[in-house]
Amino acid sequence: MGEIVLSVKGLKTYFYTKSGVVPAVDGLDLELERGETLGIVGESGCGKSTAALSIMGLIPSTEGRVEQGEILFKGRNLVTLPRVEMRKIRGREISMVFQEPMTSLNPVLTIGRQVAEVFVVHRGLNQREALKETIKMLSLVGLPMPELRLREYSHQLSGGMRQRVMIAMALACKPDVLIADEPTSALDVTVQAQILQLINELKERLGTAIILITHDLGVVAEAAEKVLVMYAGKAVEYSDVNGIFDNPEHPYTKGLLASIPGHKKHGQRLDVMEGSTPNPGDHSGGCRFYPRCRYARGICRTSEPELFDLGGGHLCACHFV
Amino acid sequence: MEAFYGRRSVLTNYVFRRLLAVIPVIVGVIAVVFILTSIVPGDPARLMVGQRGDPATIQKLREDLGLNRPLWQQFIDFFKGVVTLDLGRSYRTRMPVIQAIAERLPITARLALASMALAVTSGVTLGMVAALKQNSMLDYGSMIAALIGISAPSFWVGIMLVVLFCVQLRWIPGTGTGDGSWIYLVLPALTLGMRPAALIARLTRSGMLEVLGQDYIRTARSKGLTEKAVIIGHALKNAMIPVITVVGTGMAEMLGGAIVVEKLFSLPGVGRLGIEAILNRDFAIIRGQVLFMALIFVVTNLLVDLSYPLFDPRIKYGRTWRRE
Amino acid sequence: MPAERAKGMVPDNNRGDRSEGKVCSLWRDVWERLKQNKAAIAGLFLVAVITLAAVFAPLITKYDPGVQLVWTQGPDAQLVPPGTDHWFGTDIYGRDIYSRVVYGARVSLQIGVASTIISVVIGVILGAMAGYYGGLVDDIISWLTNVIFAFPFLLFVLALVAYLPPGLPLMYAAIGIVNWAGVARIVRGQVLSAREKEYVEAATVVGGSDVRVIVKHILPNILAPVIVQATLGMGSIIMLESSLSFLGFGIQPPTPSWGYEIDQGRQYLLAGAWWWSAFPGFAIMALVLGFNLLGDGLRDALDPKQNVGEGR
Repeated sequence: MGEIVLSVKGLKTYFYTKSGVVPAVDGLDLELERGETLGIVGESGCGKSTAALSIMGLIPSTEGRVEQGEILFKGRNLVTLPRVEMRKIRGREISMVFQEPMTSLNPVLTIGRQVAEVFVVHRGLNQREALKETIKMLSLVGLPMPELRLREYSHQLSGGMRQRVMIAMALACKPDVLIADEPTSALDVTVQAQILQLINELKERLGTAIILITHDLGVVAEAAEKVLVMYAGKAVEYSDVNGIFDNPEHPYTKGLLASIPGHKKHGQRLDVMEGSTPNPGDHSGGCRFYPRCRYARGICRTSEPELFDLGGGHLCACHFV
Repeated sequence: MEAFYGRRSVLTNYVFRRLLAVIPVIVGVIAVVFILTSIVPGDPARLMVGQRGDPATIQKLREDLGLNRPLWQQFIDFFKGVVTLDLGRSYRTRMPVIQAIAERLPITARLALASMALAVTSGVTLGMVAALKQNSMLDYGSMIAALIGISAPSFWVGIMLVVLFCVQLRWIPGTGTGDGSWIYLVLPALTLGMRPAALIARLTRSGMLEVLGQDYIRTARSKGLTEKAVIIGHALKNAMIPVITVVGTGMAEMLGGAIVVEKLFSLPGVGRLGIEAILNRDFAIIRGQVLFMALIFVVTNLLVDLSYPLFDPRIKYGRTWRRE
Repeated sequence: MPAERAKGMVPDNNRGDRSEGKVCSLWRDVWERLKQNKAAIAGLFLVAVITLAAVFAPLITKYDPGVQLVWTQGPDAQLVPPGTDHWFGTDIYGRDIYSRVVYGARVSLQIGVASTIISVVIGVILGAMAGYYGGLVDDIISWLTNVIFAFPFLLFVLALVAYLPPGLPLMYAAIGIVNWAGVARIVRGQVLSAREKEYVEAATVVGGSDVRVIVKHILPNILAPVIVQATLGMGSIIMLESSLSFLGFGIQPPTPSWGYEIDQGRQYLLAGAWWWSAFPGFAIMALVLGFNLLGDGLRDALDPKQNVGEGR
């Protein structure tokens, strides 16, 4: 067991909307070891992006907030950390790459300015030094002719290049943790593989631990060492990547795996999971997956299963495993 | 290096096409001004001389003014005159029209620049504050003020300002240009800048609110920037793009408004020149003044268009209908 | 470009095949949304109150706006401050300012409505032609629009009315002639996108004439943005009219007009008679504010996603 760099305990992040309180993350626990890649998998709306933004302290205060729980990073609780301290961590020790590289880069500022800014803010470099570092960083992420890219704008780059710039920005200060929220979903399939490979390479090189958020189990299989399956704001299964793919225990995980093309033998029918993710806050007491579960019994409606260890670090939240 | 040249040529192309697109508009403006000032019912010569004029005098005047020649020939002369910066002479004072305008221009130019500076600084500040303190009393207060600024007639507000600052408080000596000191410019600039300021405040607020919800603002925050750096460094430039357009349209209102404000504050500017010319039936001056103001407006808008790429690198030429 | 834009709009904008029932429910929806908007309702209220006052002016005023009480009552009737008899006071001739403000609304609204109608008619026809036929027709009309836009609004109208015989029809025409360009620009854009849509193509194939296609299929779609533009335009026309009459080039006295009243009254402001200028100014502000609020509200209610711009 390596050193735990980030651990989340009982995290609850609620949004306050006109139609009521939405518990987007509702009691999430996770642990991240130094240098490992943890994949968080789930359908859209399961709270995985909200969890990421909670860790970053980027939940817009006008919309919602972290209600309960702890986010421990190198011994400090990020939830209660003063703004100024949190700002020093953000972008330097924990950083984030977002799904849409097109809209995530500022359209009216040059690439160079946007990357160099990180060096200026966190390492106190002057403009010239920062640009020098930026060029190094851009070539590290495999951007051709980085000196010229400095003066370009995001609309002049391809989708893959933009995401490389985002990664350069995120890894500029060699953070301990990188949160990548669907980093490849908006990209072409061929580019997806390149970006994943880049992330893997840089992880090895910089020793950064990665939280890889995705709805695509293929991405997880390729890049992650541990997997956490999220459903309706909570973790339902956690294991190393082999455990998830070879011995899935939770009915929801099984359903997810059954719906990937290529996972089953040729000629077998693809299963499609019935129903869709419940609206956060809809459930009342029982298992969150109960309405869609084919193994559901009476107990599933009345009592909510806790995560428990099946041995070997494989955790699952289901009454029947 | 090709990336460099590539970008530059796109930009040059944009500038070139913008310049080219403005030529037909200028030709149209000259034609419209000519038509406007030629459709006067009745005979300008007779109007100028008045009831008492005898036919011989009127005939002589008609010849002097070239009024007895065919209309198309008059237009060609007028067009040639515009190109060679010769707009004729005042019917009344015999002074060249260009000179008459040039004499009055500094006052109007100072007024318009002061008003625009005031409108942009106060409008942007007010709009930013309103957006950053959304739904606070400050937000409601400034937006109500902006709404009133858009709806109240500027000359009326100007009168109220005179009563308040010149009569009641006696902070400002009075109307006119006085000794030319800047203090005489304050009230006219406030009056003229009020409406554009209100428009800019509203646009800055809505632009800012939209920009603050964008992904790249979240990215900027995720880099650990201070809130000030996020707003000044990342949001403001994006939010300013729609505001630049208002600076262009605001200029039109200012040139129109200058006529009213110059009357109100007894400033002998280009607008007053036009009013005096209308009262004196000095057609050469009217024609020259209207043309001059329209051309100033065209040029201002051209400059605004040309400044877009400075604020928005995505700009590509393609807008034939302005501000679409 | 238009083709792409049109394609993008198809899913959320298929109002083309509306039947009568759908039209009714569409407008009911708009009204429902408008009712939710407090600012818009306030605007509607201001416009309605001032319009009613203008229509029923003789019923709600005690004095004729032209009667100069100074001839019958002597100097006592001059510059009377606001009170129970004269709500807004009297002017130097002993005329009742309340009456003059109420009757002044007639002038403002008449000019506003009439020149809006003129500019909408011209603007819709020319804009539709530009968008529908494209090519040279579009080039010429677009050029004309750009030329008109090159003039400051007030300056252009001033040049038109400066030495023509003053009168209401002239004002309608002059303002209408300048103001159509804004409408034309919006209509052209709408027609360009509507033109590409399936139903118009279908109608053309079936053999409808150009006029029929424009009237039956395109016009219904441009109604909403034109209504918004016309409402916002009312505010700027009223402002323009008051500026003209402030300069002395509006409706000729003794017909009461707000801008002229403000100009007349300002000479007596220093003597303390603030009411002569103040009340007509409030009236302009209230009416323009009303139209601006209503226009903004209509824009949001008619199509929350659409952005028509600020008007002129």
